[in-house]
Amino acid sequence: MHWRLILLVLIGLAGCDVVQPESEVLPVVEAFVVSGQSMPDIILRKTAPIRDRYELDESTALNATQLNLRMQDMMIPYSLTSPGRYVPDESVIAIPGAEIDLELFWEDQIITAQQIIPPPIALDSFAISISDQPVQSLVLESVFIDPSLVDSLGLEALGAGAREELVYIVEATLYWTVDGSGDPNIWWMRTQLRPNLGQDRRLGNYFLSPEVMQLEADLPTAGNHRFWSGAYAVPVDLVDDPVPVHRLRMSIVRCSQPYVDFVSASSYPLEREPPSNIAGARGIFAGLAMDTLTITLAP
Amino acid sequence: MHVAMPTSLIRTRHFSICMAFVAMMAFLCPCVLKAQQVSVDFVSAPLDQALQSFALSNRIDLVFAERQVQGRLTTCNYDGESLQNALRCILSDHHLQAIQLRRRQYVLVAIKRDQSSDPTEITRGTLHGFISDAVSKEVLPGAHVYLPQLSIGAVTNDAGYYAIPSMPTGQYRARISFIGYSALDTLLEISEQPVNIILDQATLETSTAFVTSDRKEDYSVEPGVQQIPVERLSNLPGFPGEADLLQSMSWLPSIQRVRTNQGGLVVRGGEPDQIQYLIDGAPVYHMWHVGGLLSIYQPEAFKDVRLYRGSFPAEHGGRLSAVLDAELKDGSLDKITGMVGMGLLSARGILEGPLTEDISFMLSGRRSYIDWIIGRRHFVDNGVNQDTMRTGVSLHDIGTKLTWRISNRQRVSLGVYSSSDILDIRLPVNLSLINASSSILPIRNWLQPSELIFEFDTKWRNLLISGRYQNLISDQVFMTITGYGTSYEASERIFLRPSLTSSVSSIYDLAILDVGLKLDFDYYYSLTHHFRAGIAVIQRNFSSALDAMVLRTELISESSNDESELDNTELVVYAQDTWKPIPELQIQLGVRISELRGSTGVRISPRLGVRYEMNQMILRMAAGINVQYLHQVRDRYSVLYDLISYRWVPASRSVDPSASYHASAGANVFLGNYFSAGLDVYFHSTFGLLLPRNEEQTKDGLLGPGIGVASILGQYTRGRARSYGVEFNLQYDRGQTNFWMSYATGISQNRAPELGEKEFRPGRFDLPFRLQMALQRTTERWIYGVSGQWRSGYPITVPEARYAVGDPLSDDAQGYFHFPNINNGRLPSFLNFGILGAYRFQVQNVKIQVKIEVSNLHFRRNVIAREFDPTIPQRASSSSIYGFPPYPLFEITSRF
Repeated sequence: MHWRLILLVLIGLAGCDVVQPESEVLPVVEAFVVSGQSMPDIILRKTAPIRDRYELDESTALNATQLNLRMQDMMIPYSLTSPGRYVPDESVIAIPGAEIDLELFWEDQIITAQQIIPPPIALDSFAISISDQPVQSLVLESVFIDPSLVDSLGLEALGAGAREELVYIVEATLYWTVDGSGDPNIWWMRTQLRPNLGQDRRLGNYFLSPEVMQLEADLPTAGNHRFWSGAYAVPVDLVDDPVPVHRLRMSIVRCSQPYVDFVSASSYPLEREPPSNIAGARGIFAGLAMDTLTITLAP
Repeated sequence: MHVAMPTSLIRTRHFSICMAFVAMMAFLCPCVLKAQQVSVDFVSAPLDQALQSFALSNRIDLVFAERQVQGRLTTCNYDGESLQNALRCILSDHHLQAIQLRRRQYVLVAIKRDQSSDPTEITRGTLHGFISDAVSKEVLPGAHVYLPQLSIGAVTNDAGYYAIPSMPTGQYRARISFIGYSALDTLLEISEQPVNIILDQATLETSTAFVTSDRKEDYSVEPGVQQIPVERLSNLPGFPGEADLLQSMSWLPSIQRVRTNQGGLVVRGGEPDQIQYLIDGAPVYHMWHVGGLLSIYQPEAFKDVRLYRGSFPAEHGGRLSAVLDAELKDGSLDKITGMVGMGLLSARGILEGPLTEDISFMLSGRRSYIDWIIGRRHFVDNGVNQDTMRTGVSLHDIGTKLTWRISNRQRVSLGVYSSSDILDIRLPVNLSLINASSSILPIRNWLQPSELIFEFDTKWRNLLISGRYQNLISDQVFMTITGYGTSYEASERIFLRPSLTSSVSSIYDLAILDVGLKLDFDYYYSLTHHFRAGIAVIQRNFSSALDAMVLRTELISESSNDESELDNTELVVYAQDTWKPIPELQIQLGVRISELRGSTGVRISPRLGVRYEMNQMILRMAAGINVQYLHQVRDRYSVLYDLISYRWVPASRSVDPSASYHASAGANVFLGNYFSAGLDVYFHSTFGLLLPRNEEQTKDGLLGPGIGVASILGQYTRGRARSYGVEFNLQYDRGQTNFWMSYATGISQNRAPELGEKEFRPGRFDLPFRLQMALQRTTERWIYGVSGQWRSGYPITVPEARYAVGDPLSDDAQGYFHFPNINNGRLPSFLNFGILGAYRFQVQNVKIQVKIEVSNLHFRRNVIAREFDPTIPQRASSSSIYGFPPYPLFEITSRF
């Protein structure tokens, strides 16, 4: 009897404060309307408990009762073609500057979002430079005290996990035309260099900044062009090795603040959840203007 | 960003609370008294019985000695409205008269032959003087003088001065007590000259209290004040095993560490910046040494440490949660004494003694020695080139004080306290000689002369100078003038070159200068009223500068050069009355009026404290408003600055000060001679708090938004906070054995309305429960004990669902967690048991103590953080970061 009383007292003292909260199922929207291109497919998913696997199939797909996409006054019909995927019934081009409204009905909820399609953008030209030789670089991964040597209390006990690399530094400058069609103080630019080095190569960052998001007005201009310079590292094994043949995708994206917030947070998925610009759902509904160019780099 | 608080709201609340005080005072103060009919009819009645009967029937407290009335008879017939006349009738022909001390309290005194029997002509005086340590002659602030017959008492002020005015001349039995000292029963006599009292320190083996003292003879009305018995707390186990004032304080029921292995304290669920730290009246802005393991407070350097929680006396303000008021030792006037000690991290010492008959000194110091063991600079040489590795980690504290007792009524003191830290790491790295592409190796193997460098050079320093002049102008008026200057400077220098073509360099400097002048008066007006009033002028300057450059390639670079400077002047006026209308009741009513010149309006902070004493119980109640003009913030984006130091941003036209409303009530019960128990309840509500706009934001960027005030305030939003809870403690002190236990339960919540938060959510330091126990036995040679702490885990934000979203520039959808609520989860509860053993012996005149302790004796892997991985499609995983395993610690101290 006494031990039960003690147990009750202990539970009372401790309180029941260790719980795993679980949210209700929420719709997730993924829709990117790109200026000057056909209206996109719209993907609908739903959230799942964190203890479950998350497969991109019908188990996580969400089928809305109704989905409406309106561009200015024009209703664009969509049809469900596979679980969670809505495809426009006809090809309609996204008009720059047009307001687009998304509305979907799911269970008893109405989910809405609005965006403006930004002015189109085109990657006019680019310049690439590669360092003549690979440069020495280092990744310091950890510093620790070796317990087997700690009794010496000296420098011998201090250890570190480090990785040294030889890397070629590849710099790329991307240019696009400033035509005055959009206010650079409103629109943001996401610029990205994305090399494809195969699966067996790790990319060190070394502060090289292969991707940046900035207000377009903050980017420098040259004549009637704006430009951005980024760099990335290509590791090699030996100092005499040439730069490996690889493909490089260069992208420029004109976008609005919600997309910037979404992408900024998505870089740290362990710590943060990307903010959503959709009322009643997670995910992103963005109007974008983008251009992408993929090239092959060889020595 | 505009983070102004609705001032109308604050002022409305100020007004409401002022009105509540007025209403309460009206209730407590029956201003209109009806005349009372007094009838006396004694015929040859024994005088003692007649007086007792008279006192009982008229509900007055009549104090007299048995020897005054023994064997005497009285005959008296009186019918009127004057108690005084009735008493004169009873006492006629006995050469005695009744002197009124307070309302409904009289004391019998003998009439000398040449003295008038008119009580208005009776000579009265002030029972007053100083209380000091018997050996060192150090004055003892916070000591208690208690006259048990009259239930009258007083508490010494910062200069160790006590005064009980308006007392009929004569002798009085008094009990003098102070925590850590043996109580003294003595006779005190009214005299023009101060009556100085000396107290002997209690020996450890006859200790009187383990953690706190609030015995009945403690006459402090100040609610929530705790005298910190530093020496005793330092004998409780705790990392890093060395005596440290702030570390030890986390054993007190209302104080908790901000995190298991970090510096910083919070009081009753508040924020760390809501505690005002004072040394000799001067504020301290950075209290912790490198790593947060030790505070800058070397315990032996302080004679008196008082913690005010919640509602403080009117002289204190500027923070919301608590004030830690520490006084440096004056130094012994008797002889040169000292102490040296050595622990795992540092060595420390103190030397004190007389310079002349009237001037004493104290010199204290503490320094870490890990840099002496591993060295600060190491030359690396590969036969071709030379380079330097730096591993400089050090901390030190230096305190000194000179005190000149000019006369029995005047003294001057000058205190200087300095602390500094250095964290200087430079690693030149070359792995090219090692035949491995990925290595975990002893550092000597890869430290080679190199162009690739990791360099982190950080220094920070507190320096404060405080001068005080104290003058007993008359028996009833005591004046204190305090002038201080305190500065905090920090420097953060970073240079990282991970490749030959990229680097980051950053120089960040931060400085705070705070200069203040305070004038305080104590006026011991009467037995029932003690006034305290003062003014203060405080000038502050905050400056910071950043010069940072990121060299991404030889052609691509970014830089940030920024400076920030803020000045402000704060004016403070306060007044307070400690009113004792009846022996059992004390009411402390005060008001603090302050203004940050040119930035905020005048803020009024009323304070109320009530103490009521019953047989074996003391009841306390307090309420008040506190205002804090300084917000502590930190850049939440960049790894290049605000790493060690937080920044202080003063309130301005765009950022209102934060204000909090406090109420607390409590009771202390004394059960027999050994047991005491306490119960406290409290409620705090805070407005104008700055809360992070994005709680999950981590410092992972390089240049960040800059150090401008607008940039940093843009990362915060105004918010509200509230906390309430119950604290219980039980104490057993019997000679050599002490047991202490405390249990605290409470709720601490925040809300940011601008972020759309409609409901309060758990704050960062919300702890639903905390249970602490310590049992210790002290003998002549040994101290041994066990202690334990069991508490809730700290709140964390945990995901409640998961999902995936694609991106036009990504091939695959990315998995994310859904974090709809901040601090919606909690780490597992924290449990720690430790043992401590200390052996004391004496060699010649040197007393030596060797202490060994082991914490986390039960090998528990306490979780201190948790991370989650949302990678799809697999099940989401979490990983825990654990605290320290069992660790033995030692400390050796010797006193001479």
